[in-house]
Amino acid sequence: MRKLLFILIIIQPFFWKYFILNIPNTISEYRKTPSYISSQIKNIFSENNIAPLKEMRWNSRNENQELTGHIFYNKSTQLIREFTNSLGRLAPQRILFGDNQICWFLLPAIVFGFIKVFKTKPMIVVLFVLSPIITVITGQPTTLFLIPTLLFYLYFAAKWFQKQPPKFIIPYFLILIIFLAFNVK
Amino acid sequence: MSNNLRLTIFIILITIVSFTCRFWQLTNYPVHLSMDEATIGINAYSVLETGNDEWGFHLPLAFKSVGDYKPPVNVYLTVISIKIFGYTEFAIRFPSAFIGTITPIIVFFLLLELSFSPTASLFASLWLAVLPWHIHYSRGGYESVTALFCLIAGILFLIKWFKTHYLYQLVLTVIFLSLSVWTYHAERLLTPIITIVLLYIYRLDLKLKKYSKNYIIGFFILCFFAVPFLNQALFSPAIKARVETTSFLHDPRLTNQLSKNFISNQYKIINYWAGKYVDYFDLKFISWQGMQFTPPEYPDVGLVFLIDVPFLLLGLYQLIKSKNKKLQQITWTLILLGPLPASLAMNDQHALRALTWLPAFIILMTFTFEYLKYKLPLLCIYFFLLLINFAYFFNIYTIQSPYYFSEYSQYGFKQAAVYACQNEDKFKTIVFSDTFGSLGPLNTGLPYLYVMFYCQKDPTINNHAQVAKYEFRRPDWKHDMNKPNLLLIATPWDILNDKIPENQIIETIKFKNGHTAFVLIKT
Repeated sequence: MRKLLFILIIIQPFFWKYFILNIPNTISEYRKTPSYISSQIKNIFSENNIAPLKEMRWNSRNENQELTGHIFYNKSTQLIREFTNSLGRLAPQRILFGDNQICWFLLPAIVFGFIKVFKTKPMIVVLFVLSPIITVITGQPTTLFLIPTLLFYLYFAAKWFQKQPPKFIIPYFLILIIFLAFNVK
Repeated sequence: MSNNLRLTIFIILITIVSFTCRFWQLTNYPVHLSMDEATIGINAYSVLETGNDEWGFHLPLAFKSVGDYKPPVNVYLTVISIKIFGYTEFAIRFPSAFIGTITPIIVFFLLLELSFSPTASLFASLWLAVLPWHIHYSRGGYESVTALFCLIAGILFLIKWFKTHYLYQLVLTVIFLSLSVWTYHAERLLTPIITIVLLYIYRLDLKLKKYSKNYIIGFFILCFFAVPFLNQALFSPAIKARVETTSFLHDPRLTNQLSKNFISNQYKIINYWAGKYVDYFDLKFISWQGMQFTPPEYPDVGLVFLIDVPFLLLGLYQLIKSKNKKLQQITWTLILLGPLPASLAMNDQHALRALTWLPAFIILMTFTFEYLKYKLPLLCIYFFLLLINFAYFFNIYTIQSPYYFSEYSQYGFKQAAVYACQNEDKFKTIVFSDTFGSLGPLNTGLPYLYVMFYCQKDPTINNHAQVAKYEFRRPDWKHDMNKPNLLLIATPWDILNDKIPENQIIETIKFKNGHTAFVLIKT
């Protein structure tokens, strides 16, 4: 399982892009994490983020629903927005098709692996859903801060491959590598 | 109290909730008749009065309308509705709202048939009754609501047929599934695939030899619906035109990537489509932004309530753990096939086209309710949070959405058309701008639809003769000001650089956000 996961990681575009070819940039980005967190704490309730909520509260007030406006459009709504943004970062479209962070040819393996993991270890799926929270805390929705999510995706795929016979895995990986080569930009 | 009586009472209560959600201020929300609704109304009224559509085709099976060849079922339902309620906005919206109201009931019976308990099925029906995704499209006169109802009813009777083999069940299956195909474009793809999958899942219950006579009858009924459909697909522009205007294969984002290399193109097409398909499995779209009632990055409403996310995951977990193989197969089929038709169209993440996905969510929520039905505190917490979510949706739907997006509902055309109709005799000519909206002068509307509808034009008279007094073009102030006795219905784009004397401005019609929609000017 670990070997499979390792192989899956090292053949992915994101690994080469961030951990082989641009490692100094990656390190410097990670080093900025504390400053990202502090600026995100300042920004989260900044005027820019709160303006739509104020506007919606104003609209409610104009329609004589001031109380509902206060209940539904406040700072907690902003936190919910951030949470839903993090849910959006789980989207397979973004991970598999967006910037080709993981090759989409792995999609069936990820789906079957997800079902398998969900059946046996549902808590891992809960952690997976929470994994993009780092992007919320840092305010950086970039691939580098989505690495935990990407690793979950690959973990699901590896879990599925684990039970497959080598005569299936080897051709699958060969096709996968061809796909990756085809996708190199 | 017997169980049956208790069930009946609950079903009636759910119907009342469903009815209230769909019929409360039906003509005010959505704030204005869309172009599709207006066309349906005009064609239905024309059929009622003359037997022909607005183009003069006798009882057509595809309404050419504005060139989009509308499927016929909703138009003919609107004919009945107009006959009962008159030629009004309410009559146009009634068929979808009514079908939307009874959909939770048919869903209840389907869930029972799928071996869920009555309690869980009732909760799921109630959930559907208050679901914004279904409420909005039921209120807006959308064909997809009717098609979804027919699809669910078709599946219900098909499963019943597999269990008890009464002829009427097979007949109703064929009728409802065929009607779903005739009602909305998405079902044209989905219904045949789902039927084939269901036939495969229940292959041991088919008993072809024993019930061969019934199957022959079913086949003839199917032919009754299928032959005209195939005729339309092969020999008329109806379906071809629709495919050409909506298929993702014509999306410039894809066509710009294509080259002369055939293999590379096939790869790019599959890659592009797969991306669009997978895009529907985005939790943000599903739970927070799917309905697009407000601008991007504003708080919004998803296909399901935000509070449903953990419960959908719980439902998914219950589905995976379920030992009912047939139910598992059906649910996975609905989960995987639901967004398929929408993914083949040009737009990204389209909530209306994805309505075919709704049965999958209903079943997942039923799995959740099945698990929660004896956990009363959890259930109470869920319904309390659901109530809060519903109140939030109510605020978004009745206040925020009209404010931000009234112009996308063509708001303003009604007031302008009504004024023009009431004062037709006072003017020699009425110039109605075909430019519309605040985004730019190149965006256009179809003002003639609203003139035809709100002026209650007589369909027995030729279209051109009815609107002979109207010119549907952009007013040109410098040129038109010299013509006497003209009513100009202009958008701000038409008079951007002109100074109109105040005494010539009759009225300014504004969108709900205060931006000007039309200025009515007399010469």
